[in-house]
Amino acid sequence: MMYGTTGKILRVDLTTGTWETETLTEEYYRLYPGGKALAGYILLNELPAHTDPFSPENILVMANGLLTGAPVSTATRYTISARSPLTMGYGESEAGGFWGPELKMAGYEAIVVKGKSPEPVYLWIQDGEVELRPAAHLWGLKTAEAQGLIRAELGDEKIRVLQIGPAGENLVRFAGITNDLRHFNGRNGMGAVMGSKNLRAVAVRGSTRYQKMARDSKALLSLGRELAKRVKENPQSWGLQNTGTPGLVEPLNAGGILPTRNFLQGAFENVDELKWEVYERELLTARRSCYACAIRCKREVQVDGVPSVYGGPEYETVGSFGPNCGVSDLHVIAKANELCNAYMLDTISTGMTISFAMECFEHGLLTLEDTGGLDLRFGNAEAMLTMIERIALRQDLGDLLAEGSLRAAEKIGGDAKFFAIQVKGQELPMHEPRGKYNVGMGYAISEIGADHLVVAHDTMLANAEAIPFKNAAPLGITDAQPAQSLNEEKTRQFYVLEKVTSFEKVIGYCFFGPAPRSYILMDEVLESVNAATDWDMSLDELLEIGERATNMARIFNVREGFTRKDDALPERLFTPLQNGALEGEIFPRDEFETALSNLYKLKGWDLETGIPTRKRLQELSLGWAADLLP
Amino acid sequence: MRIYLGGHLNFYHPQKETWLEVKLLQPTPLKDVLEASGIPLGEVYLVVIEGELVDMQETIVSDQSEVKLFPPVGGGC
Repeated sequence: MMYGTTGKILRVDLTTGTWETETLTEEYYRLYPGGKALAGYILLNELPAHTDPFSPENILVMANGLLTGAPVSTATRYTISARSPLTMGYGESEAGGFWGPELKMAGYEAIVVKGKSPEPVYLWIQDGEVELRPAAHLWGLKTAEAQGLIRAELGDEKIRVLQIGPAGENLVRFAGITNDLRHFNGRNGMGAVMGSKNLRAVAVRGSTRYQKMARDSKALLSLGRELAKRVKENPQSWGLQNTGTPGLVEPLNAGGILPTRNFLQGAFENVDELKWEVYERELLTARRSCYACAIRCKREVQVDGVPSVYGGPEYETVGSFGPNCGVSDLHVIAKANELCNAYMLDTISTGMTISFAMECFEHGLLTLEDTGGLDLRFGNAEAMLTMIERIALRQDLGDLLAEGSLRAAEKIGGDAKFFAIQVKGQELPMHEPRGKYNVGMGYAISEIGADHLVVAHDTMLANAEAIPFKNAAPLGITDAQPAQSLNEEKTRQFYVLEKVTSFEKVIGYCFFGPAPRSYILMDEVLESVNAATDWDMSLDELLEIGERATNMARIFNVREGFTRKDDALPERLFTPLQNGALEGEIFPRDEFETALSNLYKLKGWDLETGIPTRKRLQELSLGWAADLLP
Repeated sequence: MRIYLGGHLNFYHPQKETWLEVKLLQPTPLKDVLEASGIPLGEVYLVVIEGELVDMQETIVSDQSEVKLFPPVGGGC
C-alpha cells in the first residue's frame, strides 16, 4: 500500500469526451511526489516540443502535492502546468485554498487534460465519479455568477469550483484560474490554455480525509496541532496572520524597494495612503484562511461599500495597481482586484502591462487615438480600471495589451521594448531586485519567467541574529550575506534555497509555511512527510526532489529553444533607481553574469548553453530526460 | 520618545500595538533603548528618523526622538 496519496490520476480527453483513471506506482511517485514534479514529468513525457499552447495538443496538468490536504498548516497547494502562451516555455502556477484538498478527498492526486471540447464544458468529480457537463450557459459569465450556477445545478453549496473567467475564454495570455473566487493560479496564462480547451470549470466534492491515507495519522494530527499553536510565537508567521501580505507595503517602501511607476522608482510619495492601517480601516471586513492553515493570511474587503465575494487584494495586487501605476487610492485598488478576479486575470501581469502602456503613453508611443480617448498617464485610476476590462474583453487597445507587454512592445516599436519589464515574456512581480540581488537571480533563472517565489528573499537572511537566518541553519546556511551581494556564498545559498522552494511546490507546502520565510522548521517538514508516508525520507532526498523538478522544467525550456541568453533581466534594472532609500542603485551587470556562471556550475549546467549535463541528470535519476535534449 | 513598530515588529509590543512610548532621562544609544524594550536587534532591518535611513548601531536618541523601525520582509502572494 502506498501511504499519503490517493495514488490515482484522472486523465480526461476533451476531444472525445472520455476519461480514465491511472494508478501511480510507488517507485515513480517517490521520485515525483506531486505538484511541480508530477506535472513536469507528465509534460516532458507526453507533450511534444513546439506544441502551440492554444492547440488541442497542449496538455493541462492540475497536480496536488504529496501533503496537499494533510491536517498540517499551509499544506494546501496544487500546481497547474502546461506550455505557457505567455512565455512559450514551461508554464506553471501554484495556488492554495480548498480545491486541491477537496480533489484529494474526491480520490485524485491530479487531472491531466488533453484535447479540446467541441462545446464549452465543465468537469464534475464526486468521490471518484466523473462527468463532463455542458457549460455554454456559463460562457461569458463573471466567475462569481458561474460558481453560483454550478453549485445550484449540482445542489451543493460546498462544492469547490476551480474555473477560468471571460479573460481565459478570450485567450488573454496572462489569464489565470481561480478556486472559491479567492485563490489563484495567476501566472503564466494557464487560464488561457484552459479556455482554449473550452473547459470552463472543474467542480469537485470528496469525503475521504487525508488522515485515512497517512501512515501515521496521529503523528500528523499532533504535528498539525503543534503548528497551529505555534503560529503566534514566530514574528514572521504572526505578521502574516496579523496583516496578511498587504502589511509589506510600508516596510518595502522604507527600504526603497517598493516598485513604483513601472520600476522607475523604489519609493512612492503617497505610501501613507496604502499602509496596512488604512487597508484595515477602509477595506477590511474579515480574515480567512486556506484549508487547515493556521496562518490565515487571506483578507476580505468591501468594494464600493459592499462586502466583495472576491476576497481582498494581496500585496502583489496593491503593488501592481498602486505604486506601480502611480495610484494611491486603496478603494480603486480593491476595485481593480475585484475586476481581475471576476474576469480572472493575473493581477501582477495586468498591473504591469498597464504600467507599461502608461509609460508608453507618457513617451508618446501611445496616443489618445490608440487608447480610445483614455488619458493613460501614471496615476489615472479611472483609466486603469477601464483598461482592465478592455484587456479581459480584448477591446480596443486591450486587445493588444492582452498579448502581454513583450508582444505589445514589439508591435508598438521604438523604445517600447525598454518599458516592457519582463523576463521570458512574463512581467516582474512587485519586488525590486536592485535591493535584493538573489530575487533578481530568481527572476532571471526561473523557468516560468519573472517569479518572486524562487528563493527566500535576501533581506530575510542578511542578519545573523534574525530568526529566519537562524532557522536556515539546517540547510547549511550559516554565513549571513548582504542583500546587495552576488558573491559565491550568496550564490551557493541561492542554489540551496531554490531547492527548498521547489520541493515546497512538489509536496504542497505554501511559501508562507516552512522556514526560513516562515515558521515551520525543516525537521517538522520532514516529520510531516515521514508521518504521511513510510519513506523515512532525509532532508537531502527532499532537496533532491526539488532540484529534480527544476531540472525537468529546464529541460522543457531547452527543448523549446531557450538558452543562457534567456536567463536575462530587463535593461531597466541596470539603470539607477530614481528615488527612495536606494536612489541611484543599479543591478550590477558584470557580477550578475559571474553569479549566473557560478550558479550553472553548482547546478551542473553547461556554462555556454545553460543545458543540464547528462552527468547531473543521471545523478538526479533523470537519465531518461537527457535523451530528450537536442 | 516614540518608536513606530513597522511591519510585524509590533509582535514585540506587550499589547501588540504599533507605537511604543519610552521615557528617556538622557541621550541614549538606540540599541540600548531597543534592548531594554524587548525588541531584538536582529529583527530590526531598517531604522528611519525624519524620513532618512540611519545606522542603528550609531544612533543616539533623546526623549523627543521619533524613530520608525522595520523588519526584514520578503515575498508576497
